[in-house]
This record gives sequence, structure tokens and C-alpha cells, in this order.
Amino acid sequence: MSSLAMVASPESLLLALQEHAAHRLPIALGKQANDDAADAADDALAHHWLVPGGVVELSALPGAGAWSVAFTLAAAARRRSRLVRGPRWLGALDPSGTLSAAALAHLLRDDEALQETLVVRPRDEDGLLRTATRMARSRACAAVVVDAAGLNDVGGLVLGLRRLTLAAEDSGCAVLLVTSAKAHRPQPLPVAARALVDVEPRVGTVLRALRHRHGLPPRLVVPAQRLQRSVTDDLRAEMGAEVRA
Amino acid sequence: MKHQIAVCALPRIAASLAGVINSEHSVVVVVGDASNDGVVRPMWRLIDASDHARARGVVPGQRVMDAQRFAPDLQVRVVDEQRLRHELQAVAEVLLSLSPVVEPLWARPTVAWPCHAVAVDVTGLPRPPMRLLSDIARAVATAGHRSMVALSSSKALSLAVAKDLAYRPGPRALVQVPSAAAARARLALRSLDLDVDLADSLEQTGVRTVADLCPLLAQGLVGRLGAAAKSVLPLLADDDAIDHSADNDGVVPFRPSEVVGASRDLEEPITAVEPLLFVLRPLVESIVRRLSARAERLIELSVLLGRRRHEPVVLSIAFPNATDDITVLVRVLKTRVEALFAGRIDDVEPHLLVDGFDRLTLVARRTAKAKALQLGLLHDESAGVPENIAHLLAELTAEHGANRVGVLTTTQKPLPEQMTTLSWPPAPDISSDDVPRRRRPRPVPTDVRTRRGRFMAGWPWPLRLLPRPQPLGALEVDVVERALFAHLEGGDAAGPWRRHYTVLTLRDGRRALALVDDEAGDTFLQGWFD
Repeated sequence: MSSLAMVASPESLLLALQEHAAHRLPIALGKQANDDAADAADDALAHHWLVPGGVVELSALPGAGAWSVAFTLAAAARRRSRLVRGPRWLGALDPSGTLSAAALAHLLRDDEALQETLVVRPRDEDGLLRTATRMARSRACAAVVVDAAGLNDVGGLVLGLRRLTLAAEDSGCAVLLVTSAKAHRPQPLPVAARALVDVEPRVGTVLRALRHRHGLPPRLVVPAQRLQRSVTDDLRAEMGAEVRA
Repeated sequence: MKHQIAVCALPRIAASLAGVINSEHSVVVVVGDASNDGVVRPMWRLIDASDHARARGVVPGQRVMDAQRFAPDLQVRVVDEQRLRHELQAVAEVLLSLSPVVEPLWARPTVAWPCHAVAVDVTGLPRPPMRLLSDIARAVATAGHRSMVALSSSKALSLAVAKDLAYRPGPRALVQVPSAAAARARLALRSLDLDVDLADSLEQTGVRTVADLCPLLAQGLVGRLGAAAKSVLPLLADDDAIDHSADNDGVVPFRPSEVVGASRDLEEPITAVEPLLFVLRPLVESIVRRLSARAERLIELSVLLGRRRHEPVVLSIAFPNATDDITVLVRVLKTRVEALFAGRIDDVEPHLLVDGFDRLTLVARRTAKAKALQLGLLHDESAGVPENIAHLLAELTAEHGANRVGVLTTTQKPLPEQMTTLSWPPAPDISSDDVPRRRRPRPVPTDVRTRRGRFMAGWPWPLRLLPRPQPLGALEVDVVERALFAHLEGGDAAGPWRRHYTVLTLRDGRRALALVDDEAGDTFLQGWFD
């Protein structure tokens, strides 16, 4: 018997074994075949930019794909958390009230994930980080996406970000902060990683690392598959059925 | 079956309410009425005293003027009788978790050793007597009071022994009386429910213990005792001769009020969040303790903050899951109060709160029966997660309002910006079946246009849809390509409408959804493929 087994409680030992086994299981276990291609892109993205217990800042202009990247990372955090029987809810702070349910369900690739994404629409941006800290501290959320893109000056976020980082470190929650690339920043924000999210025409969304806790990762391109027109056969069939009806 | 009645004496309950037990000054407590504006009369008798005053010779039962001979700098605090009665009843409610029959025993300040107590009928309970006594003492300790507990076959005897323990403290705080005869020899005369003057006169005749009274029964003692004879005679009778009817020595069942509440009047109004929470926390604890004794948990809490010049502010705090976690309750309460002071979700303007609050009342509006967890083997550690999400929901709802927290769901409305709504999430059910659920919108069948996250012509849904279209001209964007997204036609109360949507590709590669006004030729930004 290992020393771990001798000193650990049966409950913690069981959890440790489950986590150990989870890393050895085939990645595609339980997934649909057509999810594989998307998973490969998501895994590469999550490998570099998913920082559990840290805050990742994604700076972008509207329409550059920062929200898609953020929710893709959040979904990856949720999948990882479920494997180790951790919290499975996601949190989203949407002060502008612009998130679309249909698009988000498509992005998360899981209706259950949409039903377990807690969305808060604060009246203004003042309490954004305070609410995000509450969500991170609650140990109910695997990841929290914060929309601070409406702020023209992010200098006032420093203190709140330090509190948010402490809460995330304590709970292991991954926090994804979306800011505007045009926002005034008197000093760098205290985040674990920062990426500039941009669009390269006919290529896809590009992440350029500006700062990273574990060293700068290479430039990452997320193929724009989701943005291209692609009427799948089954959708065409459904639409045809509707027209006939 | 032999009766077993425990009495739990609370010798410091009044000083505890007045907050003077550990005072550095000589402070005594008298019971008064809220209507007498704090006037203290020298003939009033003390119900309690601080440790400092007791060390100087002040004893409860003395008159104020007598106590001043021991401590000339004596300070006198008046405790409202109604508040003291409520606190005693709150302790009795807590003890209801141990026995169905309890009775708060109010002490007259004119007796020799005044001491409030709670009688608990433990006849037939299947636990060892000493275990029962320690459980009673532990339950009273959770209510924040010291106690001395005695168990015997008579309520009067148990009360006398408990008072004797309180006024002549020894090594033990829990006593099981083996027989009345053995106890009588040690019990002080003053532990009986006799007025001070009567006890003094009896002591002058040489009567020191209760056993000394027995020979006097045949000498007309009953006539000398007067009304006090009713409470004294059970102590002088043998165990078998005690009358346990409710009119004599039995425990009169106490029926607590159906609505659990707690209130506090303040001399000075509170004008800030932190002091307000400092005062609210004990009230929350009191409510939770009393609910726990009834095997209930809290679903909705009503907080009434009274103001002198304005109408009181009423806060209603709902919990998705019934809870008895004081930390969570206080955290949610704090969030709610902070939102109130910041003027975020209430109609009360923050500048109207400068006068502060001087009366705080908490009422448990809705409760649910707690589901007891019998075996913890199947209780997954991650099962804390449903609890966590329920607590988080309560906290966020308290801060932002119920209409700003939820999960996104699709609706059948035809316009893109109206196809998403925020609805209440499915509440995790782990605490009770009795929790009334908030109404959720009836699930609608998913539209084929939204099922795959794609719209007509194969375009994906924009992740962000603006609630109101914005004129594109004001955004300084360089459009290089336009493509058809959808033509939508329909009608509503305002008449028929037709919408023409296009996908705009900007020079830097970003894409936006635009709404084109065919008549005016204007283009409006409707969303972003973000």
C-alpha cells in the first residue's frame, strides 16, 4: 500500500483515484464523432489559455471573436471540472444584455451547458468585478466570463482584479475577462495572462500573447469554421420539412 | 411512570440581554417597562448584576438603594420586560427540540433569589438522565446563555436545586436529584419561591434549609407562607405524594408563536452597513436557532428597518433553497443591505437613509421542513455544488434583483433580438420537498433556425445581439462586403413589419449583423459575430 493510501482518508483517496483515472481515459470518450475536429481546436486553445485559478484577459474589438474564445475556454474548463467531479456551472457577466441564447448553445455544444450557465446582467459596470468575485468564491462555477468591454478606462479595475484573483486562486475557478482593445489602461492589469484577440481575414481568429504566467505561448489561430456558411444536411432537411409543413 | 422534570436556570439572561456581564463597572439590571422612559426607582429590586458589581457584594434580589451601599457608583440598566420575556421564550423554543413539553418560568423580582428558568418535561425520553441534562445545557449555550440544570421528579424541586446551583456555584452545573429528602437537607431556604421579606423573617427564626421547614408543617406553616405555599409544598412532600397536575407541579406546555421573528430597538440610529450587520447577525442567529428546533429552514426572510421620520424600509430576501446556514444568510443579508445603501435596486434614495434605522425587525416569512440526512455515505462532496449555486443565486438576486439573474433560454418570438430571454434556473433540490419553486416559463420547442445555432442561409447566429439597433453611420466602420442574412416578415399589435438583415464584413475581418431599413435606406447595427 502506498504512503498516500495510508495517510489519506477514503474519501480523498477516491477522488484522487478518479482524477488519476480521468487523465488516462481516452479524450473522445462519450463525445460524438463530429465533435472531434472542433475539440482539437478547443484543446489547443485550452492548453495555452485556460488558467484555472487565474484571470485571463482577452482584449479585442467588438466582432473579433473574444467572446467565442472566452466561452470556448469556459466550456473546456467545465468539461475538465466535470471529470474531477468539480463544479459544473458557468458564470457570465453580461452588463450589455446582448448574449444570444441560440448562439451560446451552439458555442457550448451542449444544451445542458446553456442551462447551467448563470448569467447576470448588472445595471452598470461598477459592480462587475465584485459580482465576479462572488461567483468565483462560491465554488459553484468552473469558469466565469466577465464582459468589461464597455469600459473605456480599465485603470479602476486593478483593486477589484486582485480580489478576484485571490478568490479564483482559492476556488480554482477560471476567470476570463473580456476588455476593449481601445480602452485606456494607465498600467497593466494584474492578470495571469493577456491576449490580443484579432481577426485575420479568411483565416480566423488570432490570439497574440502579450503576457502569460508560464511564458508567452505562440501565436494561435482559431479556424473560423463557426463563422463560415455551412448548411449541414440534417439542418437542410429540417428546414425543408418546415417549409413543406 | 415516574415523572422526570428538568429545570434549566438562566441566572445571567437579563445581564446578557443588557450586555453588562463583563462590564468594567458596577452595573445592575432591573426589569422595567418601555413606557416609563428609563426612570429607575430606588425600591426596585435587581434582577441581575455585572460580575464587577457582584464582586463588591451586590446580589440580585436587593433593592437598588441597598445595592448602592455596596457600590456607590452603581449604574442601573433597565431591561424591557417584554424583551426579556421574548428571550426566555426563545430559549424555550430551542429546548423544544429536546422535548415536546417545555415551560418558560418567569421569576418575580421580589423573590429572594430571582432567576428565570425553563422547565423541560423529560418523562419517558429514552436517554440517560445525565446525557439529557448535558444536551439541555448545550442547547441553551447555543442560544448564548449560561445555565444550571437540575433533574428530579418535581418541577418545584428541580427549580429550587437549579437556583441553588446558580446562587451557590459549585463544581457541578448539572445535577440529578436522587430523592427529595436528600435534596431538602442541602437546599437553602432562599432557593424557594419566597419573597425576600418572608425569607428574611424565616431565617431570623433559625430556618436555614428547606429540611428545616418540614417540622413546621404541623405548626401552621401553610398559613404563614400564604400564596407561596403552592410552590413550596411540593418540595416538602415525598416523591410519591407529589401532584403533577398542571395546576400544581406539572409542566404547562408552552406553545410558540407560528411566525418566528426577532426585533431590536436601538437608542441611537444606525447609519452605516457594518454596524447594521453587527446588530442584525444575532437576530438572524436567533431565528435560525428557533427554526432548527422546529426542524425547519428558511426560505424567505423579511427585514423591516424602522426610521423615526420616514416610513420603515422593508427588504424581502428569498432563498432558492431552504437554508439554515447562518454564514450564508448573513452574506446574503449583507449583499442586500449594501445594495440598499448604494441605492442599486430599491426605490429608497440613499440620501433618505442618513437618519439611520433605530428599530430592526426580522421575520421568517416562509419556511420549509428540513429533510434530515440520515446517511452521509452517498453524499458526494461535489453535492456541495447545488448548495453553492443556490446560495450564489440568493446572493446575486439580493444584489441585482431577480430579473437580472438567470439562465438564457430561447423564445418563439420572431425578431432576433427578442429570441433570448433570461429565466430562473432550475433550482437544485437537496434540502426540502416543501420549497415552493419560482415559476419558470414553459419550455418552448426549439426553433429549427436556432437549434443548430444557425440561421437561414447557413449563417451562424451572432453571439451578441443588441437590444436596440444602432445607426451604423455613427460607428466609423469600413464595410467591404455585404451578404444576405435573412428576410423576416410578420405582424404584431403595431401592424405588419418586414425586416431585411445583412452580414457586414469589415475591412479588418470582423463581421456584424445589420438591419437595413428599405424605405429610408439606413443601415443599423444589430449584433456582432463575436
